[in-house]
Amino acid sequence: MIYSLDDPPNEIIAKIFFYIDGTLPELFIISRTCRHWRAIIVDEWFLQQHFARFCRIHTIGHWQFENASKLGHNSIDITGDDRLSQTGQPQQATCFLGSCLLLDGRSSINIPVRDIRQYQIDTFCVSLWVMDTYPRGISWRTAIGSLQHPFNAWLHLGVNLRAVLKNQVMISTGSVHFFCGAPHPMMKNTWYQFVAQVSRNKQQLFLNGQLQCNVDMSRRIDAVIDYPQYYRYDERWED
Amino acid sequence: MAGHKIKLQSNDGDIFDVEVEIAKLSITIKTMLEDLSMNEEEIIPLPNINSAIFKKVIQWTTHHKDDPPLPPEDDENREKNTNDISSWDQEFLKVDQGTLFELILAANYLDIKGLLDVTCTSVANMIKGKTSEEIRQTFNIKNDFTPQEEEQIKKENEWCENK
Repeated sequence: MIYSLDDPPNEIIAKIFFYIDGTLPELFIISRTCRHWRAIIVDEWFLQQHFARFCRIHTIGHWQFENASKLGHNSIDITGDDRLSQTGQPQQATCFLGSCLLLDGRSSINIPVRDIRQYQIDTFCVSLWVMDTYPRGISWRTAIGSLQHPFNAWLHLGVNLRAVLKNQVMISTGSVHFFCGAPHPMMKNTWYQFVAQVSRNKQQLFLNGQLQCNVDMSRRIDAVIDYPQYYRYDERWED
Repeated sequence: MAGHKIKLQSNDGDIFDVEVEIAKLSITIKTMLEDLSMNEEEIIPLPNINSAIFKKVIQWTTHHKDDPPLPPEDDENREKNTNDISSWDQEFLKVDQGTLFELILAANYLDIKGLLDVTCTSVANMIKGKTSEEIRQTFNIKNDFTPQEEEQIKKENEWCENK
């Protein structure tokens, strides 16, 4: 007879942990219960399985650029391959993560998502690994962006002219945008992990897991105002 | 054939007559009958399951025999819905923890996905939202970390627990 949840075999305990469907911090709190549980959770196989399951349930898009003939292929397959288009010549390259995308500054992969239900959300998070290898000086580099302003408010995440990581959130209905940037320039030929977390009222920017900037977007007065032709949307600001 | 029965024997010697269609909800038994061509007159031993637990398993499979088949393991909608436990299942799972854990092992051994889903979800719900000390108390688990290890883990977890 089993008397404690410490007794069942590892694969059963791991299965139960999968059903918890928790975030990583929740799992790490659970891992403090005993050595046995910690060994199960802080295990590469378990964490990979957890990540794969998390992606299936919670991730809208996940790009690994593993298919050289369809570089914009969404590795978790919500956007179909038939809607992709390319500008210039994006190329597949290899990096420490496996496959990656090499862009020359004039190239991009374009994926229309306006008609995809999963993308019509108020709170989202994007995470990406980026390295700037451009040999000459600094130029504006957009890593990920939505350029259909003002009808498709989204984000514009990249590196600015001073080599500083910056995110710009555009809010169409207010005809404004908010910047959120890191305090220091990035180094060339160095991998960085960017995370932008955006809700209707707040955006946060992380660099290599460290919070760089936290911007309150609830007050129009704090924003950069643009697109005056859309001021008629002002009355919807408080919506 | 409806109503046709097979004999299944628990590890404490009791023999159960179970309708084939109900028994086949267990992929393990289904495989024994179909792939291993076991004679339906033979008594099929279940060395990992005692009578009390097997009675519960039969009760669950009998109630769920007409359920539509579950979507594949990695189906997004299935994974999203696993936190829901029907009221019948909630009533069924009002058992002591030992029985609940035995049911999970039985569902795993017999490969009954629906029963495994619901039992694991039930235990997962008991873990969710608790501190590690509350989890230990709930499941009678001994804290075997040394104070130094606890301090070390606290440091290692700092990056994510303080957000």
